[in-house]
Amino acid sequence: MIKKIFFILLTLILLTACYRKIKIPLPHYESELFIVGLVEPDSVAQISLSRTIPLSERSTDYTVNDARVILYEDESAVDTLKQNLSTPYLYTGTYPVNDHSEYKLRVSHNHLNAEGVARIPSAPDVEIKSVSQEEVITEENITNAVKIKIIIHDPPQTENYYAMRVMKKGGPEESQLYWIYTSLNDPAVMNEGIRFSDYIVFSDIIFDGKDYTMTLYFDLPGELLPGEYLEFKICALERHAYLWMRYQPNSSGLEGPFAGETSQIPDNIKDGLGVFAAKNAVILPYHFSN
Amino acid sequence: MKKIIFLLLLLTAGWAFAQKVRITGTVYDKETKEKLIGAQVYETLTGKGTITNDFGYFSLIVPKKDNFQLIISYLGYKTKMLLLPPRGQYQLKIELEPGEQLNEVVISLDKQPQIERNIEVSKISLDAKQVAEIPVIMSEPDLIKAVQKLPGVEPGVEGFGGMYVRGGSIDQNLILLDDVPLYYINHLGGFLSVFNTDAINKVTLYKAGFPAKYGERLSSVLDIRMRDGNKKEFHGSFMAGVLSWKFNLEGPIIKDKTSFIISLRRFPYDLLLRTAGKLSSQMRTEGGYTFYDINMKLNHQLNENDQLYLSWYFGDDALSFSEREKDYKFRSRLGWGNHLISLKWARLWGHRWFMNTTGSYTRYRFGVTIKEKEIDSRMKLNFFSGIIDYRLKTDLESNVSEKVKLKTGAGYTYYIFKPGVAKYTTEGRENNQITDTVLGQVIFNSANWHTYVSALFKISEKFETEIGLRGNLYTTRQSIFPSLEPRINLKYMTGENSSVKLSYMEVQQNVHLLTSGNIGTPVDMWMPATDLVPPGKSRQIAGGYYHTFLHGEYDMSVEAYYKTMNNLIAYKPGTSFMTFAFEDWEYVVEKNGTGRSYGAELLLRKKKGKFRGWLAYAWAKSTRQFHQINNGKPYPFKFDRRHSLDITGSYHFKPGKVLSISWAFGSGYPITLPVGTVEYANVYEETEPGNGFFIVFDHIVKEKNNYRMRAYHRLDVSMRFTKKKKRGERTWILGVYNVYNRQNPMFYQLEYTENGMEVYQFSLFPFLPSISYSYRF
Repeated sequence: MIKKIFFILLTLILLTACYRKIKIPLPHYESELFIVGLVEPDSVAQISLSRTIPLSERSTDYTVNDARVILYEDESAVDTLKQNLSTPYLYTGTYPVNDHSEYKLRVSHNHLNAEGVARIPSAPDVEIKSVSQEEVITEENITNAVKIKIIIHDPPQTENYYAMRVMKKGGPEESQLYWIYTSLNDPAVMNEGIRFSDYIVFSDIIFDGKDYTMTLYFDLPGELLPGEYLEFKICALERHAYLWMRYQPNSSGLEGPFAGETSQIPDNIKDGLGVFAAKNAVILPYHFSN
Repeated sequence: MKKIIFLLLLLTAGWAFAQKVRITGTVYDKETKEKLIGAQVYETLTGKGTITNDFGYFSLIVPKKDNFQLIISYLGYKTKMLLLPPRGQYQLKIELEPGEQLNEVVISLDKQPQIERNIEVSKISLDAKQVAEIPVIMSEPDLIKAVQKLPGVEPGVEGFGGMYVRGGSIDQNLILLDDVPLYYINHLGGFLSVFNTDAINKVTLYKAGFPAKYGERLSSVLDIRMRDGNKKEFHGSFMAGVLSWKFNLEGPIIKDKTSFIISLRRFPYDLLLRTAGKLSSQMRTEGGYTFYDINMKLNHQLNENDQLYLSWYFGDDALSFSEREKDYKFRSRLGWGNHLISLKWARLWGHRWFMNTTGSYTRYRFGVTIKEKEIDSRMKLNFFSGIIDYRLKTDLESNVSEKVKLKTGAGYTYYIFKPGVAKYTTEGRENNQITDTVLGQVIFNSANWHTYVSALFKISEKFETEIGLRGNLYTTRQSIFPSLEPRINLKYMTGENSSVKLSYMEVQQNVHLLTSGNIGTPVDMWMPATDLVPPGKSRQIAGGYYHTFLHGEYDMSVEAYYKTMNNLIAYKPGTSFMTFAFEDWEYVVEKNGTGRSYGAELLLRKKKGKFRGWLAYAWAKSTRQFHQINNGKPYPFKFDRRHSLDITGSYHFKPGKVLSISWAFGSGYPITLPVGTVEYANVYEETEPGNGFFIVFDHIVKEKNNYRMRAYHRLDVSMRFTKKKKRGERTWILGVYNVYNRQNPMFYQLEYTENGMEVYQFSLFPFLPSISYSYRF
């Protein structure tokens, strides 16, 4: 019997000791130009330009110095972006971008060339229906919230993408109001929405082509002071701007046996990698009457 | 359409009015009186044949003759010939004796129903003997491991009991134990399935062309039938293996009328560890893992036409840990398991209609209990999630004429989904303060009505077709999802022993599985389809060439298929079951995904002789597409495998000595690996004026599942020694898993090392010898 137990335990030990780890050749990959660019009416173009480094390389120098970065408006060169030495990887233009135009970005550096195209979307057609203050029970506590109802007049037969931000302004300090993510919120946003930086980013997948009244709750710590008001910034996004903003909070998961879904870098750059896209915003202030 | 229906009715009527004789009966094992599923019944003078159904019952309508010669055969049993005197109708009880068939008889059986004569496409059956002879890890026969060796079934991650059929996900398999679904089928994380092979009679896998009585899942049906138990004598067995110890007892309660079978299985080492813990006074902590299964079945023959079956399955896994000190106690238990009970009534109505009515309850539950006790306080936390089904269904079948066989039925299923309820209680003694908190008490209910009808038409000697329609009415919250699922099978005999077949089917799946990662785990949650996450749908067309040759010793099938899947779901990037409240589950999944699979499969089997086995090869391609994953582009399914080959065989070189060999090869599964790294200024993220932008470091993940793991291959060998003893029969099984110690990939991981970033493959199962002992009495 003792021999049997010994044999059984030995087998168990064998099983636990059988974990093996071997090195695998890295996938082959060539360095590329990496562009993160955004154009917005009445602003100058700003792009981040760096280079990707294959996993097999030990270098950590991502910088691309003295690249030729030219912005074209409807096929005509309108701006040459210069390297901004105060911020790594940043190239900045001087030409304010126009509404309803198509912009092309051409980048060349040594033997590498890359190109991206952005089309300024129409500004979103939105109106504020109501704004009120309420107490909301979240998973953690009871909080003072701003309940906002906005009407989005979504254009028919197109996929449209939106980003929305609420700021408290007019007082001694400007601050952003955080979106409360619970099932209280609007299904259209809950379904597709994601928080990126100051913005809620969502698509029209639920209300495509309709006049849609959206209800959202934002956290409002404390009371509004006299003179303070809320400012709604609602942007129409190009698809790749939307994809980029969705990608950002969930980038680069690595796989293991229990790993979840990984995110892939949105890419609309020809012969390179990254995103060059546009947005167009409307700003709506809201003053509480009392 | 009306013309076609009229024509069919006319044909049916015509056939029905001709002078015919109905031969019905049930086929039993002579020694145990258990019914034989899938036994072949062939009338030689008219050339008509059929097979017994899941209750051992058959029905044949043949043209009237002076007498009939019936041949009844079943693999592993001696073939029986019966000469029937002239009569208008026959109801037979046929007993077959276990044993090998003599060759001279085999020759006369060329025309009996074989793979090419069945109407079904992509249907493969295995019996318990075949399952037992396949060498597997730790010498423990396992049903799911055997099914994984069939073409078109991918095992997924090594060692885990995955089952991915023709590019379908793990939740797309309907796994039925005596007609009742099981929702989680793994013990030990997948080393073993919950099916105790001692209690199993037969298993049938459908990968396409589902008969209309099956639905509910998009990719496959695995229909497992438990044994009924010996009606003549008491018998039993026990087995001590590396992974489990088993005990099985069966016998008559009323001879030839009522029998029972009970099978127990347990993972025994927690008992050893606990005993060791108690022997050591120093040990204040105790922990362990165990699982157990109890299968029980009672069956009672009420009279010639009525039979009752009561099936019960109870299985659990438990992981526990406890700690005890002078003023402190801590206990935790994590458990999961299935509980299933069904009552079945099988009845033959007037020698024409065979009916099976089943009422059942099945539940899967995952739970965690934590208890902590200190001098002045107590804490208790309970968390559980699960799914419960209540079902009632009736199936009817009849040979309405010589050339038409009709099957119909209806049923109702009521689902209760409990995605997660946590109860938290604290009690402080000093101030007598008690708090009770219940979190996430969310229950979703839904229901499904179904009905179906299918008819098998023998258009000519060569051509048969089975046309079926299944209707579902699925209700959830305020939404109703009706569906009509056509099922069509066609068969054309191209020769005496060869045929071509074609099938088309549509299926709707009303439940979704929220699964994290690459493997099925007990914490995966079943959720109902809703208006926001509608039911999944699939369409599949499949066809092939089927041939039996060398006097029935070999058969082969070559099949091709094309399948589309709609309304698939996946967790949104960065989300898992830990990151959301259950009320919001519909919002954390990517919806409206599509899938596409196509491929070709070859199965070559040697069914008789000293060497038996099969060769299974599959070429397949399977993709998924979601609007928000992989930039909206299609990507390979995570268990997309281009080539798989399984060679499995056993050689009976002496009575009682069987050598089994199995070799598996599979090209690499896809995984997502970054190809490089980058830093950039994120111009999309606004900061305070003048502060610039955030600098972000990122991995470059260009496409999902962009890389393939190394190919997988493995050789397993086992040797079985069986010897008759005074009071029974003992068997030793010696086995070796992964004979040549191939380091197969389980998962890949990126690691930062002194040399920069490197990719490592992790393997778990090297060369593993094992032994098991069993005794039958």
